[in-house]
Amino acid sequence: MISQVLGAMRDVDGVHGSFVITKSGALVGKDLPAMFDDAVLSEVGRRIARLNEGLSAGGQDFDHCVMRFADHKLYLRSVTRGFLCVLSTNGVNTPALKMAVTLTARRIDPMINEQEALAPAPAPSNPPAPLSEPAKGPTKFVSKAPAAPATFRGHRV
Amino acid sequence: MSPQVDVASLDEDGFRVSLHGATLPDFVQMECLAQSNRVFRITSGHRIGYLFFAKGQIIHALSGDHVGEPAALEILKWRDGSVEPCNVGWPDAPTIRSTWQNMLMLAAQARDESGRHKLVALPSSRTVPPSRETTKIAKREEPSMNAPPSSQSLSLAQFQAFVRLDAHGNVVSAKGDSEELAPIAAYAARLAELIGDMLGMEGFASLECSFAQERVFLHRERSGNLVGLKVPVDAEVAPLRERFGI
Repeated sequence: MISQVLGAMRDVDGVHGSFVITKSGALVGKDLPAMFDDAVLSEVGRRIARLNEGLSAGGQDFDHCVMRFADHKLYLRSVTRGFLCVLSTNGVNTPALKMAVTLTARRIDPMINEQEALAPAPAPSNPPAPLSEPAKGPTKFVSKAPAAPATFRGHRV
Repeated sequence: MSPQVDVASLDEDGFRVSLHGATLPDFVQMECLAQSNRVFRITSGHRIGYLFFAKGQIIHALSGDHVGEPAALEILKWRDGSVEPCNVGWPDAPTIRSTWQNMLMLAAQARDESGRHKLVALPSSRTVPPSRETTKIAKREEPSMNAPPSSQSLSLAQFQAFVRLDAHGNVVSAKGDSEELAPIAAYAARLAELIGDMLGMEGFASLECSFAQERVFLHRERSGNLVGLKVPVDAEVAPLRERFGI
């Protein structure tokens, strides 16, 4: 599984997690906290694909790309079939990160095609949130999420 | 974590909620997405803390030993306890500037690292900030990014193209093949900002993109201007990276 391979990235101090997208931006695997849902990462993936297209005026994919933000970095490594994307703090040990990315990229590249076929369609931005069954009693909510995406005051959570 | 949430006293036409098995990050996410303006008392064992929510963000926090972001990070690391709304005096000014996504990410990282046993300790050439406090210190130590790249960092002769755009995309200064670089820089910076926003990473500062024959650097100056540079792949770029914090 791609997520198991990506888990190795977090051996590097400062790495929050990572995800993999195809060249067209489709999400094929992730190892990130649950707050990063697939719909968000799919949209991020499409923008990364557009970033690659925009920057590579000559038609050639970038080899790697680093974006620095106020507190974080996003490191992108191009592999044959997609991009490996790593979220980290700004203080991450860059040589260690690059080494881990190189090793991880080698392992995930052959897995991208087979995973691509399994990739789910992106979730709708405002999905309905029907409760599959009523809660026990009028005042009880259960924290185990139902199969459908949960909402809270109209927002997807 | 078994937070007990009782909102009936503050929201009379809402539900009375009892949540078992949820985590504090779940709760924070719900409150922030709901854009609530409330204070909650968090109790975990003998520890008590307060989280202040306003307009979809955590704006203030108190714990036994800390105030502001350190307090919020401490509270968010607690693994079990209860949550209840309360009436506590609001601060005169927010003490937390980070987004809630950033706070949750930092707390998750701290929790993860505290409970993780690493089989291999990768060598570190510099100190990795274990907390928000050290991150801030590291930021203050960075060189100023207000100044444009100068001959001290990289000779203009090495640039294939250089362009500086104002916040509206107007070219302020340029050199070399800037006609092609300007739209690429503006578009790529905008995409980087959007990508950062979606991932909860605010404050796009810079970007380095490496191709087989060249590198492209982008840097958002504090004035809001955007600097774009294109250099050959074999150019010495260490000073640029240092200046841009990459």
